[in-house]
Amino acid sequence: MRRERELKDRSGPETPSGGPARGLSRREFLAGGLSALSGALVALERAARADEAVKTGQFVFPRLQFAVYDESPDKWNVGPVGDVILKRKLQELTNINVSPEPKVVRLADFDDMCRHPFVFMTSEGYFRLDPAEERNLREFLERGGFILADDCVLWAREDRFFQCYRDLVNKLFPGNPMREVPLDHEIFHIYYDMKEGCPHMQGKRAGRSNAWALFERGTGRIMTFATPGDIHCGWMCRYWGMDKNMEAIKMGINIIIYFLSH
Amino acid sequence: MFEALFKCDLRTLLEGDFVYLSRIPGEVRFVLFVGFLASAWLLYREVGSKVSPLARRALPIMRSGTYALVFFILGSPAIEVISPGVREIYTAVLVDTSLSMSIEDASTEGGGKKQARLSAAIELLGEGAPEGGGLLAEIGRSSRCLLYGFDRSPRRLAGIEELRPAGGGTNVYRALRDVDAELARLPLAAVVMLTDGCRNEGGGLEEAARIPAARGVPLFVVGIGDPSAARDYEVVRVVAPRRVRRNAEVELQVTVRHAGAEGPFELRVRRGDNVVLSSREEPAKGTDIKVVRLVFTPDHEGSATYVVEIPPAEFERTAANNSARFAIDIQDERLPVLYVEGSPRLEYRFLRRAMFMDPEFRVVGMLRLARDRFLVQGAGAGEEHLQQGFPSTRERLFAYQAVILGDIEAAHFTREQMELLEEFVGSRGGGLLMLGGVNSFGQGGYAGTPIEKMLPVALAPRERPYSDETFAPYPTREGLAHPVMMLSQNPGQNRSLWEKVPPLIGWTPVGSAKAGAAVLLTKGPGGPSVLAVQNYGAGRTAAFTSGGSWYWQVSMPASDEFHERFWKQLVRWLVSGAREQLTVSTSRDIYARGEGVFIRATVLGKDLRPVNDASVVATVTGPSGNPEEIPMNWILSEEGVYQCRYVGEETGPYTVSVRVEGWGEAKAATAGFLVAEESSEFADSALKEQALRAMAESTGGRYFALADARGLAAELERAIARASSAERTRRTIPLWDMPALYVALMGLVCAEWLVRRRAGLA
Repeated sequence: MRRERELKDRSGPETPSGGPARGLSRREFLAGGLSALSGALVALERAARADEAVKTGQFVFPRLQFAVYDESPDKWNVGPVGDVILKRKLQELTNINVSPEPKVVRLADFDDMCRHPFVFMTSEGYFRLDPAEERNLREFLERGGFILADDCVLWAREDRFFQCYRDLVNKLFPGNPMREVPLDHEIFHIYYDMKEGCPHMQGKRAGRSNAWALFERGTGRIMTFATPGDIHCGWMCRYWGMDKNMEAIKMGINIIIYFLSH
Repeated sequence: MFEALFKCDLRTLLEGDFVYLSRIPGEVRFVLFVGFLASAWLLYREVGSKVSPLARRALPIMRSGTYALVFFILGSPAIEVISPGVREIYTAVLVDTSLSMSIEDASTEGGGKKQARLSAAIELLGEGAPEGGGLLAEIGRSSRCLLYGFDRSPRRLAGIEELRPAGGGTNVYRALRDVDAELARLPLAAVVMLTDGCRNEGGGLEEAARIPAARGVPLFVVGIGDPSAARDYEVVRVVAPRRVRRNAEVELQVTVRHAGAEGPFELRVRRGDNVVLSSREEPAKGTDIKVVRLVFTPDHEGSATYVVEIPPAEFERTAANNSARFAIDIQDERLPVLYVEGSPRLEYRFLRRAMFMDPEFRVVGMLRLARDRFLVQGAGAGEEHLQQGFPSTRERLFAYQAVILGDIEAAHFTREQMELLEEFVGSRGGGLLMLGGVNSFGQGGYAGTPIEKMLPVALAPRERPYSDETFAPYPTREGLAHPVMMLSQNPGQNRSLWEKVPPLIGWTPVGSAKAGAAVLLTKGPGGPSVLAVQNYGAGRTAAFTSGGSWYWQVSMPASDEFHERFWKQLVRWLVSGAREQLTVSTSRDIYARGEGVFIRATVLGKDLRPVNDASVVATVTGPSGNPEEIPMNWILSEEGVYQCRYVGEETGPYTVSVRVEGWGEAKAATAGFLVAEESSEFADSALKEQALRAMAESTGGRYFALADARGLAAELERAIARASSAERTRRTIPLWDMPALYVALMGLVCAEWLVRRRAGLA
């Protein structure tokens, strides 16, 4: 509880309540994100007091660039402010040494992608990978890479990206389909106790835990984690109120710690 | 009468060479004789006027004669005569009775019907020689023939019917040495050896040939068998771990010889009749040796014997070399490793994953998520104390066999914990591995701590920062031969694998390697250490100065197990000295029937100190399933070591279970061994014609192929004739005790006395 209070105290400025800013232009959306970021950075800078001396490694939080073929306005690069805020929170609240540099990786440039075994992927709409990219995605996961796929939710109700990603993974791993992550799974409790599973910001829920994963045969380790609930928009600390946004950040931290420890 | 007086007949006396045997030189004897002669003449010249002229002449002559006889006797006279041989001449015939002599590839002239090598030898000795009498009969006409069978040692045989191919090895050196010793006092004309020369052990053939050559005895060898390299499959060697943990994979390195094989062949592993693994292998190109890596997971309890075999092909002369056996003991406990990491990083994820996926290891992770908050992973019952931090007591720390210090600073540990860690390595035999990072080695403040003493590298000053650079690790020559880096049994292939290894990301500056450390990987040729290892007390330590081996895993195909294999091999190497409370072992996997098996157990207390007063019992269960309990006794010379002896009379697998009274069955240790007929005799079973020929010719003898063995009888006849001639000796007949001399001496003395008496001088 102490840590949760701490998280609440150090969070960004109060965000407007209500639904997501659908109808905003892309430019307005990014501008809003940047303004929120600047406020968050000031607040976080004052509060940050983690001991840098004991941190090691360089955790990079890259985004995956891919082709979205439908008319959805937000593509792979939506809401980068959320990434920045999540990284700052990671640096502040955990012992993870996070690289502040933004990074974009592509499945076509597989060697570069392999230097960053954790990859974040999001979009609103349907997407398509070419056969080489599909092979690379499967190979990436089998080598020990990890993809966090979060649906940005089209029109506040569609889970096109989530469905599309789940179908793709099921196609790439026949006989080992993605399954709902049980509520008692370690990923929900490893750092913060997420009793309700993955926070649901908007859109359709997918099961009780609102999270699906591909589990490695033999070990049960999560290879990729997919959420339909738009948690990355929660990281932006712009919508839905502070408590809900903080839940999204906590879930993001849990996912990254799970990745680095399993 | 003549011989009684002169000790020999007149002819000998006349034809023999007369010699003096006295050590007093002839010149000295002559001078003394002249002196005595002169004194006699002077003596009798003074009395000349008192006696008759006849007596005056006779007395000095008789005295001179007496002196002459005395000096003749003192000269130790003798007659030397050449005498004909009186002793019987011997010929030794040695027949190889090792198992390889049962191979059916021997053919006489013209390469007719093939028969077993030993059968061909028996035929040659008994029936095949000219005139139907056999070689033994031929030899027996002119010398006395002694027949021996030999494998690892020779034994005298009464006849060829005792020849059986049963020996598990061949030792030509010992055969010749022992026969030579046995016949040392007898005149030996020649040694005949019938053999294939296969799988000779002990001294070399050249060395063996020196034994008969030293006494001038020629060695005649009849080579039996086919000298051509036959088309044959052979399981040459199997390298397998003796003890593995339950459900852990077993990796076998099987060396196969496939001489003349043109197509693929099957290699399979079976336990009893149950085939656990079968693999179709292509022959190696450019060589007939292939090393095959086979992996399987045993599903049995305790100890079991496995057979690696190649099903016999039609073209093979023998199938006896197509298999090899090995034993595996299943250990119940997984290898416990404690991994302490200072902060969540990729190296932790991938290194833990490498071992986590292998059931041989039980990796307990202590990952610092935030200041004073640790995530403990993989801990079992009784390990709740890890939530409070690194173990602080001997019992708790010694429950592990290896400790990995990730990127964590020295200040995290108390001085007592570091001293305990030193004891863990030095006394308990545990392994310690330090990984590179911004808070390890010198940067972690380990200078001056007990941990610094254990590390195989000197520490760099704290001011030198961790480098994020990407670099290619360079395997040293020592590294390529080290078990930690042995990714292939083929040295060339191993080098090639390491030369292609992806780069590492990140490096902690360290100083030079310590004396006694082995540097396995460097940062470029001649550069600073990336991986160094050393022994420390009973245990081992390693320094891996990079924190970026995770890149090996993600930059190589998912099917490639390089990363996992490297780390598992390193940890296995580190813990190889780790002691367990109760261990049992036998000196070998396979024993011959009737051979003594020494069973050895080591008993340690909970603090891993030796226990010398335990009541230890070994239970040996043989193929028939009847357990036999044998008490084990402390051997006095070693602390905590107990031993007993067992003789296996049945062929088959045996299981040994050792327990300590009062510890319970759960803590029993098991081992296994096999009692079997040996089959190494069938390996490389071609006739060693060149070597045997060189051996025979170096003694002055000859080599005969079986088809040419008819010529042997004539060669032997000549050798026997030479030996008979050499046996004719010069005989010496001493004459100093010849009765005639003493009769003459007494006659002269008496005659002189009578003359002196009649002359009134006596």
